[in-house]
Amino acid sequence: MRSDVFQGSERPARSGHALTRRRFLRLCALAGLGIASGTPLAACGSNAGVANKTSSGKGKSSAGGTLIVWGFQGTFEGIQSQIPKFEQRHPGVKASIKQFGYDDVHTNLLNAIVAGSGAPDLCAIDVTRLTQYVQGLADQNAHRQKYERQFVPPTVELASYKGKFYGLATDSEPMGFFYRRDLWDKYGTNPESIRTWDDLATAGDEVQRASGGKVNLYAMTANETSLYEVLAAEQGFGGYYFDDTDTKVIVDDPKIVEAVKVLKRLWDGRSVYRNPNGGYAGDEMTALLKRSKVASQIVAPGWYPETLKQSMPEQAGKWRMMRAPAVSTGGPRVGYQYPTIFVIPQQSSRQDLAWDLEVLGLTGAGARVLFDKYDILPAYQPLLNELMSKPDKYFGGQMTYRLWNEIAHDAPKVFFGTGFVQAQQIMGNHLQQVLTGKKTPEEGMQEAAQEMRAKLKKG
Amino acid sequence: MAALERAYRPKGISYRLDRWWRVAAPYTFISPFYLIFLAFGLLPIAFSLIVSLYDWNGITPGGFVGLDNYRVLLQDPEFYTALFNTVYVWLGSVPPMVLLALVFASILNSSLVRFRGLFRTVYFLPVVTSLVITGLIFSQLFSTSFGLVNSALAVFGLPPINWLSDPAWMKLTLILALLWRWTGNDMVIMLAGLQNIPGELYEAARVDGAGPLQSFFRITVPLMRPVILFDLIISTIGTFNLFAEPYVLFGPDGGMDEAGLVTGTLLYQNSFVYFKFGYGAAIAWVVALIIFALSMLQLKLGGREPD
Repeated sequence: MRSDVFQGSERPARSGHALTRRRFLRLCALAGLGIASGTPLAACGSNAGVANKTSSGKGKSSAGGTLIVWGFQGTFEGIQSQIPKFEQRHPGVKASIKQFGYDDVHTNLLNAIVAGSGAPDLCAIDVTRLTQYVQGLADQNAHRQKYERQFVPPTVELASYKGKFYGLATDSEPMGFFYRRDLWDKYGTNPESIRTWDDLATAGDEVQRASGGKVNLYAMTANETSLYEVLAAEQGFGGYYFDDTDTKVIVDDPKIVEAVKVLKRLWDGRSVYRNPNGGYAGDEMTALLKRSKVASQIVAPGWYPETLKQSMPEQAGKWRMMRAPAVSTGGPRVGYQYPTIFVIPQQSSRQDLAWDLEVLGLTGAGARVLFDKYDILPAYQPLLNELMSKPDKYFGGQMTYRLWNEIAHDAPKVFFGTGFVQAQQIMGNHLQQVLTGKKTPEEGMQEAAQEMRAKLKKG
Repeated sequence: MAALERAYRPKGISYRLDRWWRVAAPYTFISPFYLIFLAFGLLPIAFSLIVSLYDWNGITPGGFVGLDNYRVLLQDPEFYTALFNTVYVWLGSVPPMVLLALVFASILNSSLVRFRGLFRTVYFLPVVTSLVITGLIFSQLFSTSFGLVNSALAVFGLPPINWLSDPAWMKLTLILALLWRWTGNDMVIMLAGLQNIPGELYEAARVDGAGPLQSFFRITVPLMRPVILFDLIISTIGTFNLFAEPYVLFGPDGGMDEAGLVTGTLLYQNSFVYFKFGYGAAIAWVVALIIFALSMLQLKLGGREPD
């Protein structure tokens, strides 16, 4: 700004108290700096009260208004179906669903908790992310006992952390092994004979020979941790990367190293299709199965049958499901992945109403709507009990729901501790090094453990 | 003299207000920009600098750790992997992108080309195409088993390439995606620069017997140097802030062997997946310093006037 704003005799006299441009700008700058330095510090501490706020199951409740629910596809539809009933039960209260993508729900919830406002009354989150949010969520422990028996284990356990309970699950995710019965018969593989992972690798050699190299028995992705997690569960480690106190990293335990050696044997098999883009649930894997280039889906959770049914309706009756093979003969054949749970942020001023809507949407008719729409394995036990007596036509009349239920009940005490997502990433990197021969299983797991301990600050 | 002094003597509150307003008025009128910049530019920047000194998960109060996040970052092999990948992609994409943009812009600036408007629009289309669509197209094109690119290679008897999962090829896929998406954007910048070069220079060169190539290298390139420099700096900043393309193609973890992990995805992963905001902010500041240093270097190397 040029100084000729002040002309002639209008130029203000310079004195200690006179307001000059320099003084004005200095004052503004000081005010700006004050705001700039004060706000972030305040923001860093703005949630100081969050951890101290107590919110038991007898949560806050205020009448009227609109209850906001955030979810991603395949989670909120049961709740949505029960909104009319809910609104009838609570005159003057409305409920509204806002659908986001999977990543966006998690980021938006975090942003709302950090900002101190804007969080929904109910929100779907992946159970692996629970420990990241617990300080901003309302404890529903008062309700736990009532619903513990109504929900398939270990979903209630997974929705709990350090004595608090955060919500009900939309689905259950035991891990199964899927195979094309017709292709297995054609190339002489008997499912009864596949008891261990080693049996599978051996059978793969025969399929490769019998099909003239045209069909692979299974596919694997070097940095995908799903298969590792099944093997860790079979070796008795329900925390997959951490011990059951969530304080120690266990990936360099000799039993885990043994499991990784089994993975290496599978990877080195002659009949493995390596690294389909997008992993076991990616488009390329689906295309490989659809075109009968791969004869099995080595491990996949309770929602996977829906992918098969939607992408390959023409293969109805050809698929079968069995338990994942064991690490060693006679060992456990189990695995469990990550259900979605609905949580209530502490910010919600209508926690009682939110809980009521959650119960309506995830039990009874609500649970059925979600199942009917997506065929996702329900976490609501009465519905699963009903399904268990029904044969699944897509799987040649097999009682798949009964099998899912058995696997879930046999799973070890599964939990997903703090830093679980980062531990998966670290493990994926080291697994890839081991499988591609750059490191031995011992070296790889030792280095993975060191990195996890350093980055996650665990023992 | 005494009369003058009396004239300047304070004359009550209205006089003071009037004087205050005379000083403050211009600033008041230009203040909206600065207030917005303060709220949405300066404050977040200052905030991120302060956050980088904290171990903060966004929910519970952060603990002050001083420069610890920077110390850990400079010892983190993952950071160096991301930095190496970013530099690789920068070197692999920016020079060819700038060159292609200049060549395309020169061709489309020529009066000999018909339907110039159509071609300009077509080249610019990838910039405005939804990134989700871009991701889908590239995933399909580069699919190992069923992709069009591998099918084309098979025609020549070449083996399929795992473009999206083989660490050796992943960076090339990313570079190709960047070239496809951003060359049109750079071309528009170049085109604006080319239209400022007087046509008489080319006519004179033609009269003197210069061919199209000579005109390009002796007239276009030297006179376009400031625009090229601007484009190089903007592209460098863009590459070091790269996030969307590698995220869509390889996911936030960078895919196999972290070959697709760049500084932008590393920052996102730490901040919004692991909720390590202090560490994420430290990454942002170190990357900002690198960008600043590279930009200064480019300015120094390319900022001289043409001889």
